[in-house]
Amino acid sequence: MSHGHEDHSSHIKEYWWVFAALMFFTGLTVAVWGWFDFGRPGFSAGDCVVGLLIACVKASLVGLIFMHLREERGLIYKILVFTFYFFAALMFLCLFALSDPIRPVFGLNL
Amino acid sequence: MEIPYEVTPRRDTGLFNSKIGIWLFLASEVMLFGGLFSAYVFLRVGIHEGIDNPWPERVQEPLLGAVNTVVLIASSVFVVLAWVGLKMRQWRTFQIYMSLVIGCALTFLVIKTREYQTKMVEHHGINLKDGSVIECEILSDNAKDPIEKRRAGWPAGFAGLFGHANGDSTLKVRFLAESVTLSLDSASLLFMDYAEKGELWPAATVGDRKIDGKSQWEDWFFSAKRDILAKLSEARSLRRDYVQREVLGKSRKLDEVLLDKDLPAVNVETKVTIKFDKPLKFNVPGSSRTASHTESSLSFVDGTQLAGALAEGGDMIEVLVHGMDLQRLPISQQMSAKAWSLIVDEHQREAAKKVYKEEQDKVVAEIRKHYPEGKFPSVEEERHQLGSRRVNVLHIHLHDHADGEKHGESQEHAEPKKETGGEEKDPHAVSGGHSNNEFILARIPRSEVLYASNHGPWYNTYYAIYFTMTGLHGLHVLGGALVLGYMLVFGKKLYLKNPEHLANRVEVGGLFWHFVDLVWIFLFPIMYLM
Amino acid sequence: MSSHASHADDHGDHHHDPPFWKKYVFTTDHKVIGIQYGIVSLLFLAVGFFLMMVMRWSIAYPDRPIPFLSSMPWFDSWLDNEARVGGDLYNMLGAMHGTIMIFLGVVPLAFGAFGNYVTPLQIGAPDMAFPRVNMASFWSFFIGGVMMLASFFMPSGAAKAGWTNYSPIATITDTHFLNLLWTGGTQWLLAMVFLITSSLLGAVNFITTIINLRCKGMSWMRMPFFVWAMLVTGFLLLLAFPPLEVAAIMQLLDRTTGTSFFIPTGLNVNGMPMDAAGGGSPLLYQHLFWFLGHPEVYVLILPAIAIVAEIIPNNTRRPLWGHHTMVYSAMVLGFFSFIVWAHHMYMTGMGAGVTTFFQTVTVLISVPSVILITSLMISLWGGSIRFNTPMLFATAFLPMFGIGGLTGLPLAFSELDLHLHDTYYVIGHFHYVVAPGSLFALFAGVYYWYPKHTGRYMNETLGHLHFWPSLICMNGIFAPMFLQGMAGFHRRAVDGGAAYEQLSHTPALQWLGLDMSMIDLNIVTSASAWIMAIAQVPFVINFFWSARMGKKVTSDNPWQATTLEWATPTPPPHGNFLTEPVACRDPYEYSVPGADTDFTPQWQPDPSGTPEPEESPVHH
Ligand code: HEM
Ligand SMILES: [Cu+2]
Repeated sequence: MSHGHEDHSSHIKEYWWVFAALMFFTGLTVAVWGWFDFGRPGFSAGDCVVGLLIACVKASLVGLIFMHLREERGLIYKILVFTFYFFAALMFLCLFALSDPIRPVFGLNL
Repeated sequence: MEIPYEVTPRRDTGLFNSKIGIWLFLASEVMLFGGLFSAYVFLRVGIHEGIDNPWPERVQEPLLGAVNTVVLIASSVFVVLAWVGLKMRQWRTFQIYMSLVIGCALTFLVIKTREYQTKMVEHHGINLKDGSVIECEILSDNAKDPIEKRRAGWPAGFAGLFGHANGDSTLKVRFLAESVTLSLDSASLLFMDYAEKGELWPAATVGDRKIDGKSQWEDWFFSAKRDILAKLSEARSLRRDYVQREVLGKSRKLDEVLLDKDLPAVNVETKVTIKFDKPLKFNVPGSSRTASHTESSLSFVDGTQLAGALAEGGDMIEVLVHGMDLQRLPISQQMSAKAWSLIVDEHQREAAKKVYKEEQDKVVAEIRKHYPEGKFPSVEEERHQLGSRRVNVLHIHLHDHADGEKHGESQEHAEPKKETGGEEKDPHAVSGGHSNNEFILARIPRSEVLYASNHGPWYNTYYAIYFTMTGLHGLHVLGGALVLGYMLVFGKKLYLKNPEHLANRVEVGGLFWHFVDLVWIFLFPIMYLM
Repeated sequence: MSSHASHADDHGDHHHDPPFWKKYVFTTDHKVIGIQYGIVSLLFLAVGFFLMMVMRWSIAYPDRPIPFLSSMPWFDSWLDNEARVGGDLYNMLGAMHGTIMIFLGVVPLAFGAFGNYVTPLQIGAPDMAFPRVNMASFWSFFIGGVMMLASFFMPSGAAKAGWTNYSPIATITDTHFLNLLWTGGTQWLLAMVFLITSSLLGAVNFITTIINLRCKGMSWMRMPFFVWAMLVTGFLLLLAFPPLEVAAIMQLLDRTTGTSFFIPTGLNVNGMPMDAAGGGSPLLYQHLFWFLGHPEVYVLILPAIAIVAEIIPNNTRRPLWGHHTMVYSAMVLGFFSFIVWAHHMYMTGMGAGVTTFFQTVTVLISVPSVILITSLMISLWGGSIRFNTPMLFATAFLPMFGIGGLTGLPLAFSELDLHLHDTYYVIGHFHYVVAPGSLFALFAGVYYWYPKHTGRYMNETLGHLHFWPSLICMNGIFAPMFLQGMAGFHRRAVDGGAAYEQLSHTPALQWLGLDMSMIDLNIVTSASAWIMAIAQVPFVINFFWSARMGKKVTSDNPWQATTLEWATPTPPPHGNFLTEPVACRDPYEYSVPGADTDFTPQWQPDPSGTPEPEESPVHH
């Protein structure tokens, strides 16, 4: 884990490249929003996919390079995999429950 | 005693303690924001079409969000570079980049605050009982001139957190009280918090006692309360002793004992009325969570009652109309919505309706495409099929633009015109075709109002989750900036002693900072764009 | 340790004694913090117990004035004019009993006290990885606890909406106060934020300590089961609590500032439409709560199982059966515990698909639980058991936990749960797990590790006087609840279910040969509860008396145990070990064939010369 000096200066360039990439993707998000209007009117699955995909790419860049996950130890990955699993459980099981209610027979069709 | 692996990584795990610690902490942060993200999805997907408030889409100014994204990403780079500086033992580089990080953090927070302020102070929505919503700015009702009336200040909604008001207080009830009736066993003097400023603790009469000023009021209140409580507890203990004797001592049934003639009763009069020597003005949040009122009385939730009269015009709300949101009404009823009739000026009303009608016609044409046979959908079908694909918020007329010139004294007035253009950006926004220095004034009777508030978190679930997530994120930015700032200002000593230790700390702080950036990367599209 | 040498110069000051407040109050020593946790949480257990005894009066004798308490200042103002426990008071007692017992009693005692005291010792560490965070964790817990208690004395009284604090009921209780900050409901939420923060800090600290501070030779599988349980528990707390924290924040905003996270459209309160935007979802709260709630029950039970797993091998003088299997089971248990939560929500109208999923995983999760308890039972097999007090409690734990776990199974099936949900059956189920289950294990732990800190044993006679009545009373309290629950008794009735009076002489009772009605069982339960209070007196006496007068231990390893905590001096000094500890073998080497004694401690070098891992091996 100990980096030599030259090692670091080569990293510096990389960090700026990542910065540029992140700027680009931010621009892209806004541009896509303007061009395609994210499927407006109305919210649709396409919004989700495009918006979140770009965000995921950006997030991985930050994670892998700024947070050094690329060269991190297996232990950290393990913690993160667990966390991701629980996060997914929280998110999708809630949605699952929401999407499958017993519909009332009388009254309002909720 | 020395804790091992504080600075040097352990051989087999390859990590030093605080590195593991911060990643674990971040894992729990992921779950923290994860809870909020899933709440966002749950609330949004769970909206019952036609019953709940619709989810407002793209009501934020994306430019501000994008700027903040750039600011945070830049700060992320700076923080790594600051760390690299330390690794290469260049204190100066570290200082420069770390200062930039702090600068970015502050910029971010300033922009955020400005965004919050716009929503809380300048944008209101009034939901009428028939389902129409007037998007507007509520005027604080004292002043004569509409422009003077603006900017009543940050609403007291958050005061609830500090134990003051209760519920949103966008709407106020003004009340002139002649007397107040308190129930001494349970009430407090808190109702006085709602008296108009500068009129606190006036001269008043209770029974034959005169009280004036805070200390006399309190003296009287606490001694009277003590007396009543003593009387009450005496009466209760007589009764309890009797019941205990009969039920526990003589094993009689309680039902029977309660019918006994000599069972002591507890009837202590706990209510007292205080007459104000001259009518006292109250300014009470118009939320039933604080108080409810009639023409001649106002009762707080804690049971305290004011008698008197509503102040002049007290039940009318004056607003500057920004737009109409009629999407909860079936299209066939939109043009006859209650909201239209509340616009004061007839010309303005007709013009606005005309604009709305044009826009509506476009939507109807769109709908007809889905129904080629020509049969227009029933109200129910329409709700179900079309969802939010219809006229959303329609901006009849935006703020006056002459505003700033007329009232040169206030720079704050110059701001909103810029803001409104973007803040409530909507592709359907149209200009009402009025000259620029005209307001659309509407007067709304309180009895027509179902729910009214500014665009704070209480306005609907979107704003609720928006404020909570960005607020919590903002607190993280603030916390991170404080920690990193601490290292910048006080780090030199540790640097000289053990530079690697400081580098570790900065790395750990940096990890937290990147995480904060990461959260924003997701918040930006889901809050601003989707 | 390895880094000692290089920094030997700058800690020469740690020889003279720090001042009192630094040594016992704002201390960073994990053992003192453990004891702080222990004492505070035992006090909270007593408070929770007291609340319960009052509730039990109202349940057993709803029509009789309560004795003694009607003249107790403050308390008397809450009773009604006939000195009975009214509905408001009952709700307050119920909500706070649950909250205090779970968040301020069992969890801090199990995780905070035993975890703090024992974990670093067992892995041979000088302290926790972050001693100051450890201190912050305790004080955050303490503040949360004080807030909870203080809320009793506010005009509104304490929170009243159950330990689950469901919205919207929790959002609207006591909102007839103008100052909402100082009401019980608000204080509950704020206090929870402190308690959750405390748990999170603790969890980060525990996991880091276990990963990074294991001594030389302490490879993963050489860690005692107790340490493993703490690791899994740490992860449960770390990842399950944050969603509850946001739920608490959202409810706080709903309550005090008028947002509508959990307030549905069109909610009427007292016949008036509530002044809120609506559009929120009460179910969202339930999801977020139970996402914590279910892992939390394993936080309550895993440390308990772990304590028992330390005591049983020690007293059977045989290795723990299936140590590795138990470790894997605990991991699987932790893993699954995150995806079963909605079995608490069958009644909320979830559709068949969701229900089937949660039903299946709930039944699956009982497999690792059964493995754990079966391993412990097999560990008893063929040993010549020493029945000292810790062992009595540990043995009793097994059947009690068994009953609790087995009665959970019917609840896992939605068709049955629709009938049993919110009845006394559920109360019986989980109390069997946490009261005669977890609590007994915790008592066992107190008796077991007491000599380590005080240098004296607790008294055996008093221990028996504590154990036997407690065992009988526990069953007297909770067994009748199953019958009542199956008969439909609702769990939150202030009058103990007067509405169910007609259920007299049900076949179940007749079959048992009892000439009483279901509602009379309330009296059996309540009487057992009050006697149980008396049964705790010997424990309290023992706890203080033995510290000065108890039988002295003759060595640092009085129970002749094998794990590393017994290699320290008695009591262990700040920094724990006098010489750097090395783990040379597995943790439960009792009665090793060919050994001189019937126990071979972990620190005893292995003459056969198995190459010692220099530091524990890297895992992948
Ligand atoms: C071994 C398998 C277990 C199964 C299948 C199981 C199943 C269930 C189910 C389905 C419920 C919901 C009942 C209802 O509300 O209608 C429940 C409630 C509960 N269980 Fe378990 N359980 C098990 C073990 C445990 C353990 C080990 C603990 C605690 C240490 C525990 C503590 C609780 C608690 C506290 C509740 C009630 C929460 C409340 O509503 O207040 N359970 N259990
Ligand atoms: Cu559960």
